[in-house]
Amino acid sequence: MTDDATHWAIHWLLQQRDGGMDASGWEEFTQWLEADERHAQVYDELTETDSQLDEWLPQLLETLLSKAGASDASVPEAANDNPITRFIPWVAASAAAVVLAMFAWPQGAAQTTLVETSPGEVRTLALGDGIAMTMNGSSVVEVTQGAPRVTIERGEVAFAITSEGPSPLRVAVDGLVLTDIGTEFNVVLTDTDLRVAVAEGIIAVNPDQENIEVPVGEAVEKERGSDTLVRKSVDPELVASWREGRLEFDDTPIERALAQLERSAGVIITLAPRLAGERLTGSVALDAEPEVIAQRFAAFVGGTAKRNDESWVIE
Amino acid sequence: MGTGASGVTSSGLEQALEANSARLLRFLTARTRNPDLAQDLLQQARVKLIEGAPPAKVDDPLAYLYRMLENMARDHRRSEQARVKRNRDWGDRGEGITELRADPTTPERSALDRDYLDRVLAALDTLPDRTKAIFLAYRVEGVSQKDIAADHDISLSAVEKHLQRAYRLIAGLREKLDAGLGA
Repeated sequence: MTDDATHWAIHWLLQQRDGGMDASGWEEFTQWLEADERHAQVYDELTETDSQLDEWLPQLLETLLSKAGASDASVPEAANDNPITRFIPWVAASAAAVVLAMFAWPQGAAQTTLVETSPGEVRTLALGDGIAMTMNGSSVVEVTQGAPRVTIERGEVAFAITSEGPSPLRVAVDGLVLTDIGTEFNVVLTDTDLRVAVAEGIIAVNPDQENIEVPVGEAVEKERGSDTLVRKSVDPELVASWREGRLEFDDTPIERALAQLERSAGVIITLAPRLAGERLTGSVALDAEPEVIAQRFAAFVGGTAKRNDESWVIE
Repeated sequence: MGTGASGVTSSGLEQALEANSARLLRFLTARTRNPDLAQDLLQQARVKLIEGAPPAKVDDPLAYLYRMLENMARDHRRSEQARVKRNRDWGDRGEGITELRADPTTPERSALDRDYLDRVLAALDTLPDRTKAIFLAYRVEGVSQKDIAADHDISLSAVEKHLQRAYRLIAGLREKLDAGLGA
């Protein structure tokens, strides 16, 4: 009975999704609903499950594609007599478009370019429309060609928008969408955290849904994959000071400062245990050799830097 | 004013609604299991048709009206659930908390949702490649059953069988999850 109800519920859902149900189909659907009052409940639950899938499209696609692609490669099959082998590349080619549609980006804008910076490499790209995007070192972003749309995969990126009024810029990062309302803002995505800080103007987070506004002097932070944002206040002067060749800290955890130093200067420093959990206030100039930068940083925390292969140890 | 050369104007839809109000009401009553709500929704649809801009082109006015009412019934259910959820969440919040949620669900609920997502992904992975590919095309790409049938050179009912299998798997997971929750 329940099994049969589920079968029919799925049947009606498929008919309706296709948009091809004519009036007599709807009449039959009505009769099915009337036949047992539990049918409407089964149907409600199914439509709920179905709309839940919409929220998961990027994850569904990512996971299924990676698996499908792997099994496709490991099982050699003739390209023409197996529909799957031509199906999967076709889905793969449109993967970006689907993810974009999820963020309400226009479909067909699937041409993207991956831009990557090495540690210490700072790179500025013009995205058109008065939008400058500056990538800190060790960062990866995906830029959609022909539209100011950016997906941040990793690292630190600052955006400065000089155009009048709201710009068409949209930034996707760890499940959020950021839009600008006349702005300068900085995004840091590490393995564990996302932090978005606003240096000028105002941005909107998820403008098409919750539309959370973050004004100058504020930041929002969250753990990777989490949907809970925490609001913090920040010094707007310090938000993207790394672009000026110096790092400024304001009660910054030392671990975060070291991560910044690695991105901006390519200088990798490990700490003596006694320094763990320290917080820093002040600035370090980056216009020098790594050795000098490491020593400056060490002096800053009251220690000395010793070379250890490619990295430095502060004691 | 008058009917355009092609399609139906919203006054055409109004006429179709009045001519079929009994069967539309019957549908809404069966769909919502709530006769008062069914009356309300039908009245809202009337108002929408009178005030709203007419749709560009409607081939089948009656099917269009059914679809519109189905969507209204779903929206109503969703907003009811959101309201209940909001009332529940409100009690959880303390004074002066600077936390804001990117999602109106509770943390426990979103942990469950993530767990559910993981199960869905794992379950889909157990499906045969063809079923997986058809489900992806249909649900992620939005390809119609008819086009999938043509692409794979199989019958429409065979396409539905693949989709039935995938949907059944996902719906079953949800039942288990809800049962585990005692919800």
